[in-house]
Amino acid sequence: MDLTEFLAPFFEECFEMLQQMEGDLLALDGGDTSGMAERIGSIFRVAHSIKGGAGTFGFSRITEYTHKLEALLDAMRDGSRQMTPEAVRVLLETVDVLRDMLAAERDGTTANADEIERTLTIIRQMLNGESIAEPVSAPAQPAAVLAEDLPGEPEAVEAAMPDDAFEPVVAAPPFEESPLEDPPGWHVVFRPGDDIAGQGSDPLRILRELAQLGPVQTRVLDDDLPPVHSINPRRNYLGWAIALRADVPRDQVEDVFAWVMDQAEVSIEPLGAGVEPAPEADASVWGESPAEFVSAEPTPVPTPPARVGPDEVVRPGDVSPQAVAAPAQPAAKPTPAAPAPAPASASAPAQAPTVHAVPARAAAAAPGGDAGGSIRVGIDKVDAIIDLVGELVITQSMLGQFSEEVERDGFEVSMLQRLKDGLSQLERNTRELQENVMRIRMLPISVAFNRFPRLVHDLSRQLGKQIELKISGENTELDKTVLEKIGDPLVHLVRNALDHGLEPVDERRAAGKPDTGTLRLNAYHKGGNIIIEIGEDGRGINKARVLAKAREKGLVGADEQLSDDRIHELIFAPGFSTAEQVTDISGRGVGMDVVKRNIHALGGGLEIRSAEGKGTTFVIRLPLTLSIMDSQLVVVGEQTYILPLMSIVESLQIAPDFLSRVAGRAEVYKLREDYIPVIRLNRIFNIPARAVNERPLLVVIEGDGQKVGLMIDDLLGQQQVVIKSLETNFRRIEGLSGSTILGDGTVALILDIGGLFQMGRRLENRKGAAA
Amino acid sequence: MSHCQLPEDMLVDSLSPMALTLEAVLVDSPDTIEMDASLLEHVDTAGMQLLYAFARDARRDGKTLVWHGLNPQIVDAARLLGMSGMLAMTGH
Repeated sequence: MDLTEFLAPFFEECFEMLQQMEGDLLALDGGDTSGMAERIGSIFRVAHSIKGGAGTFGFSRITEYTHKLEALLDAMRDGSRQMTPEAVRVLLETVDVLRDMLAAERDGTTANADEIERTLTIIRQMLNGESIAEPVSAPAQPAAVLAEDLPGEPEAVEAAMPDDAFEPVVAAPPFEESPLEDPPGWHVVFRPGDDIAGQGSDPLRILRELAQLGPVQTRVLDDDLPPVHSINPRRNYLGWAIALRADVPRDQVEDVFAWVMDQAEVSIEPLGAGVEPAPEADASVWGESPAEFVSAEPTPVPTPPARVGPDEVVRPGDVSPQAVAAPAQPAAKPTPAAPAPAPASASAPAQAPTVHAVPARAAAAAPGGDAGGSIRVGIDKVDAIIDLVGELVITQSMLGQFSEEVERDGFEVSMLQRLKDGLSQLERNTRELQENVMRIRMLPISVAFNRFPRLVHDLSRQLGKQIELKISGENTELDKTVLEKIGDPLVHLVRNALDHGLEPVDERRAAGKPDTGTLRLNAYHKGGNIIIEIGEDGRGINKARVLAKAREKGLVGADEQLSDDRIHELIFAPGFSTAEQVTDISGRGVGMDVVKRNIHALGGGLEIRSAEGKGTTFVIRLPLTLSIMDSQLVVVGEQTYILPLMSIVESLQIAPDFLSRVAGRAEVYKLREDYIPVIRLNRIFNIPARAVNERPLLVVIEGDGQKVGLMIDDLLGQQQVVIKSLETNFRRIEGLSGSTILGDGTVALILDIGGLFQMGRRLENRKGAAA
Repeated sequence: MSHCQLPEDMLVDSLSPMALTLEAVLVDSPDTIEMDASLLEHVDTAGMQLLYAFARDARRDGKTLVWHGLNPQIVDAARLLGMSGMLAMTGH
């Protein structure tokens, strides 16, 4: 079977699950111990599911890694290891490693082997009790009692995983005495021929003999076993996968099977060598298990047994609704089949079986990941569109009927109202349909916000600051493309806020503030835009320091006086930083200008609100989508151009007296207290100016942190336009960002504000050079 | 609840009639099947295989096994063969 088509969803799901795991870990780290067991269970399930999926696709390194991780999480679930803050930190690191490994598989690159090894070493140490708090005493209840309580519980789902079928025959030493990581031992897969009984051999006897060598865990391979009524008792239908945990030479293991070598398939490999007994064996058994429906695991893959007591293993049979009731009579005690290195009743099996089920069907990873781009759409959104299409059909038939009437009876003035009603209904349907189709591309901003709890967690430790993150409006939706492009600027702003904005504890105390600083992320819709606020209650922008630094760098003249807003704007100047110390986090003076440029490239804007001693808030304003834009139509000569409404500050009629040239070069306009450069669009685009236009108009636009006046001949209306790519339909042209088709069918070009700024500057420079 | 008395031996040579008996128990019994193993002393792989198939089919039909009088050696055989989960001999 070709599994490649399932790869993309697999990676997508894995990353989502890791996000969830990270969220659970951060909640635990935040001291939220409510539902600790559920969270640990949830984290375990993430590791388990990734292991299962990775096994299916043949990503053996991920399978092995998650397997080890699972062993640790399993120990945490049963209480033999505790979820300490240190453990949370380590597990957060494993999330990163897993992301790296998955991305490497997806993109055909190589994961960071050092990190993998380093975290694995820590996991091993933790499992061996070397760097983690002493384990709490394991629950003493018998498994049967616990098992009855399990159905419906999160743990029950996990406990019923098909791979719990390993049977600890002789309990191995407890965790404390036995390192869990790859002790010496052997994987044995034993598939006797169907006539083994007729040959006088009994697999049970062979397994008993094997158990004499050391603790064994056995998994029955029953894929060929028919229903009970069809069984020929003389025939063997079963096989076994056995993990023997004993430091014995291979010869000794081979000797056990010496008598049946010609009647059976026997493979003997060292433990941890990636030998995997067939996983399908149990599928027929566990396929009926309700747990499978609940957990929706992609593929049953062996996992460590879910322990519920000191010496028991939860099995599927214990947790299904058909679970066997505990016997009324005193139960017989199991006796070890053979002398064992540890007492049978001592503790849980020391190690999860190192048996993996990885079909050798490795699928080629698709380089580039989801570059093709897909989107998961909620069924409600699709249904809404279907409803609207229905409405549209009704309107169409109404108008069709009207047309027939006119054709038959002729048009009367009295009919005009009906026509208008029909058309306005059509307009409404079209608009709603457009809005709903656009909603398909909309994703909640939580997709971008989700990374911040982790970022804040890590950085606050690194910086030694106490920071509380408050997120609101995370369900606010915006276009997928915008969302993807806003991620990095947001990260930069958050890092900046944590590093420069929020003060260390002692500084906060001195200022009479609570020790814990607050970082707020908020998103909401406002007038066709999405507003994202990143605010903190830190020290605020020190205007005097910013100004001093700007003067030092020559950005501001020695005597020049600036408004507060202008001073705040200075932090967006390229290379500007007031940080006294360059840190790893920010403060290198690169970035804030890049942030602003990126947001502008999305057709958005960035503002700062800051009060000294009280904090700073960055306000990002973004269009909801990149394919539809609110625009202003302007006329230059005989041409109509389109300006993004968002970039327009104001429009005014030019007063000729206020128009002047500075030193014979740049043309400027006196706008209240400021002088702004003027760009004559007709010159840039070589358009013949109107013969007579005594009072041209000036549209003041903002971009790249400065204002510019565009001289035009006339202003038309404002409207939404659908952006058509020039590159796709024609070719790229400087100064233009795209085109659109207007209501009358003519093509209008959309002005690229950033490009215009550059063209304007070059034009003036050329003039200056000529002069 | 229906009752199923297992014989003293469940060994390869004595099993032929057992398969049909167990099938009948499966069909006739309501939700719970009481497995009386108080007589059962000797099993081999073939016997355990039959019990395993029976338990699996019972589970598939939504039926529950309740064991009585299990001999430790039987429990041990189930563990060695990786069957105690399906046979619901856990905790005995």
